[in-house]
Amino acid sequence: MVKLLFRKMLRDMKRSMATYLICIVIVATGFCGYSILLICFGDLSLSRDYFFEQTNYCDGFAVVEQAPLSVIKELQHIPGVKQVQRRIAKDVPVKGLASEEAHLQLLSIEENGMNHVYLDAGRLPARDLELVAGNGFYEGNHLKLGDKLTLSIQGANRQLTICGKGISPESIYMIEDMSQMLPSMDKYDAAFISYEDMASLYQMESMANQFLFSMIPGNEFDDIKDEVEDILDPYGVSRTYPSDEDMSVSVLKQEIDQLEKMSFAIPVFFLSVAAIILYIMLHRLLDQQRTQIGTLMAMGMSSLIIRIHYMCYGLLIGISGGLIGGILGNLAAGPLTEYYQIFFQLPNLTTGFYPMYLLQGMAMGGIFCGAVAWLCTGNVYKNTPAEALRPEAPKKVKRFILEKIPGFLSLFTVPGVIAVRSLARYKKRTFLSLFGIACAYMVTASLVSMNSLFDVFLFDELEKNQRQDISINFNTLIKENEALGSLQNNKIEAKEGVLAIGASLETPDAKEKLDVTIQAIDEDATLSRLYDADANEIRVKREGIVISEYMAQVLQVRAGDTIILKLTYPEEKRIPIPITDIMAQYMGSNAYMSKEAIGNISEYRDVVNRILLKAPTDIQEQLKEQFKDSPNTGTIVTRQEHIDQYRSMMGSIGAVMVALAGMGVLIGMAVIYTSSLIYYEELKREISTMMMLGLKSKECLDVVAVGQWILTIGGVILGIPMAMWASKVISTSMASDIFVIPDFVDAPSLLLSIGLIFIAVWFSSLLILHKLKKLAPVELLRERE
Amino acid sequence: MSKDYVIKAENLSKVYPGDGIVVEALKNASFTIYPGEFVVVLGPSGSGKSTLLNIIGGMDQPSGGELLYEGRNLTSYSRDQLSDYRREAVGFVFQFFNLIPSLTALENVELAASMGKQSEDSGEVLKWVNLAGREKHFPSQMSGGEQQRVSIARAIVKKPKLLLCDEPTGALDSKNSIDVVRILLQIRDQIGCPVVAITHNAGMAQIADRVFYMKDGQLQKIETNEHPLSVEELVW
Repeated sequence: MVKLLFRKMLRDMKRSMATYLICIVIVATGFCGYSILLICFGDLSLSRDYFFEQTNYCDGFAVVEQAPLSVIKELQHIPGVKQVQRRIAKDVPVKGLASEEAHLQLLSIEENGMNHVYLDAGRLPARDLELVAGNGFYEGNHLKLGDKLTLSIQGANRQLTICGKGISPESIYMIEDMSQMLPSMDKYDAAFISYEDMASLYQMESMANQFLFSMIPGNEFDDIKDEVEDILDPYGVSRTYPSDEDMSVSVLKQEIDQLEKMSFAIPVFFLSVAAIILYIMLHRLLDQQRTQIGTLMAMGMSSLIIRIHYMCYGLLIGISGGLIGGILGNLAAGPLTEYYQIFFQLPNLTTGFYPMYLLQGMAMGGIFCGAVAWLCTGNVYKNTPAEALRPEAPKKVKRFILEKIPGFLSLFTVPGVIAVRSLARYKKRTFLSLFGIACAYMVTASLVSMNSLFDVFLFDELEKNQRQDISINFNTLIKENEALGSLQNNKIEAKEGVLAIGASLETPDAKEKLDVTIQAIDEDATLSRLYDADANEIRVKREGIVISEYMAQVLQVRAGDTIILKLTYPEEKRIPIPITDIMAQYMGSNAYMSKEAIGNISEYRDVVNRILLKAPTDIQEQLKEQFKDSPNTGTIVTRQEHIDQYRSMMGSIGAVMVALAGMGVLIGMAVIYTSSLIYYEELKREISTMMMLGLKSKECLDVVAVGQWILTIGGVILGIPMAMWASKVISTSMASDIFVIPDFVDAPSLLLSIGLIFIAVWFSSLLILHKLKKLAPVELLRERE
Repeated sequence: MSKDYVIKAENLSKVYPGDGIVVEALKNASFTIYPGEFVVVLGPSGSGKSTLLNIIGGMDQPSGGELLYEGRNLTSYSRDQLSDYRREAVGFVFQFFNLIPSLTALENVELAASMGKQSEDSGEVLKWVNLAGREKHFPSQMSGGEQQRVSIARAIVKKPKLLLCDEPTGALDSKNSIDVVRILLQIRDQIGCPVVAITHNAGMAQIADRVFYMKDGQLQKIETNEHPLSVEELVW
């Protein structure tokens, strides 16, 4: 019996192959995304964990101005601390390479110590002015082992020999600050050197400016932060943070977390769409097979077995979709993992074929689609065999709600009126189709809007907020009037100093804390612009602080409230400070104050560590030249180069977005075509009668098409708020300390998506017209069913 | 006692509640069906023939009265018990054949055979209804007469205790109708199970052992045919 029922099912499915295939494709798409993302998630997580173990990655960091090594003993006495390690870390410009902006973060390492370098080639540095260059820097600058690098250390050029290349957890994703977003490893990477050489180069013997902590299992670095800060307070502690807040590690962590979140969201969405199609389809099938069900019951087959039989339709679709999706996902995960390898230079980041995801996809798809089919077959229980064998009484024809509008029906031909009334006749199907189209529209609009999201996300910061052409970042604090005074070229259109310092914001009850960078700018700054959520320009005031929407949300404060600003240099201070404004900020974690405001509450008076310049292109090289050999210069960044870099990245992302938006349209078409097909099957007899009366195929198309247009328009109307809601959910769920995604659905994207969905309806109508042309009305009318 | 009859009904009734209207489809019908007899239920449309057949076949529950099958009271049966009853004891033949279109002739019969405990070989039964060589054909590839013979094969393959036929010739021409009647009589004679056929073709009553006359939901009379005609004598 099982074999025969299985055969029946396969043959039934073959008869309506298109709709079942659409359903399988949608389920497969969901599980393809699921497998891809989970495989990448697994690969990245495994590779990260292995890498962190191999390099003995620490549990926490403390950054100070300069502290004697004797303090280590005191730090080691803090309960929960297992080990403390000295480190000297300095940013240093590199001379003589293709890029004038090239610089390295020199990190001292200890043999078998924490945050060790994972060697890709060569050997560890001896105490002989040797260094291990970061892989990205090494390869990006076409360096070889034995090459010498000229580093500008404290005003003097020093040559160091490359003895190896490698990577450490802190240099997986090397960016100077979060506003940079994309790493450019040929220009900025880490390099590893022995502590002794480092101390000698910087005259820091028996000193360190960073301490690394490992904790006894069961203890968290966050719990000892205050004690560490107390001990290091005399040495200008600027930041203490757990190891997962390191910028490189944090970016990797966020990516891994997002992969995991998305891996569950994607199949849920696609399965929901598949559920709608499956539900509509199976309902129709059960209606069509009413007599068969009655016959099976008359033969003595129990309702339960019949229900299980029809549940198997869903099971088969789910299992097939899960299997196909799992296979495709496994195949597609490789390229995505390779793509990640470009960004995260993780050693051992490889991928393989994971049958587990095939099985998971099959199980989840099967259970979900089986459950949908099970729900569909609920009516099988209700009828006695005698009832099931009788043809169903025709559904009552009701007037469509819109018919109440005077003149509404006169808009349609007679076939059109049939279509309109069919919508009212099959309410459940109408509702599901409407919801399916709305979902498809939501996906299309969200994906189309992603392009504008990147515009807002990346270019708002670089083009709207930042107005300088060049920013010169210094390694140390310098007198503002001296720095600006040295720039006497009268072609310079604007020059402004900025003080960027690490700080924490706390609520007065100290329940919520947030590490931020305070950007102190002029009250009338023209090169750093701030805007609120409504795009109104805001300015820093003589007193108070401007914080971002995300900060306000985390700290649960608003403009006018007072928060605690915690500064750690030159000594720890907690200062109550009013919030003057809340600004929109998508990248980084910057809070803004006026220089005067910060000067009033700290020792930071008349000093800056960044200069912003607006100047014509012809003098930009000259200006860079002026600063590049200064011992205090860290990096010189040209804004246009950043913009160009993002634009080129957007080229490749744009293609992916177009493909994704295309997928949204395909989903829309799948829903529209399935519901059209079912309406067509349902109204075939009416259509045949009309053909017998002399109507042409094209005229009869109205019976289906008019209904679809009404549903599509309704779906779009419903889909617009859904797309806006989706944008909000995505923004909220992806917000982090590092970046915030704005609501991104905009009017042009909504309009474009309407156009795309309408094309899907038009295409679906063409397919139905093709069927209508092949319809033989006489034969059909002769059939009993 | 239970061996004396296959079905015994006492005051069977069936009421269908509707939108404000109550339809009495069957009113106090009492009758007995014995092994090896051919019963024809005759009456116009809406007389309650199908309702009666459905209740005898366990496809519907009566609203009142008592229905016994070999001494067991079917009126107290649950849905599952009625399924078992249909599976084990009843074979159905329908006016419009009701074959599963996506299964071949043989598979349709095999499906029924798979539900019986001591079913015959499906291929052999198809041969018995003169369908040798048509086993692999789908219903859509067969004539009405052939489809009805598949339907009969499907009904008898599990060796039912009772064969119920709802207008078995209603969708057939005269030649195919006579073929079907011949097979039904062979079933009575060779298998020995009673055949109950409902029809509004009065001619068919001439071959029956007994004829139940129905009108407006009432079993008006039961006539015993002392000299039933043979198929050869039957004029359609």
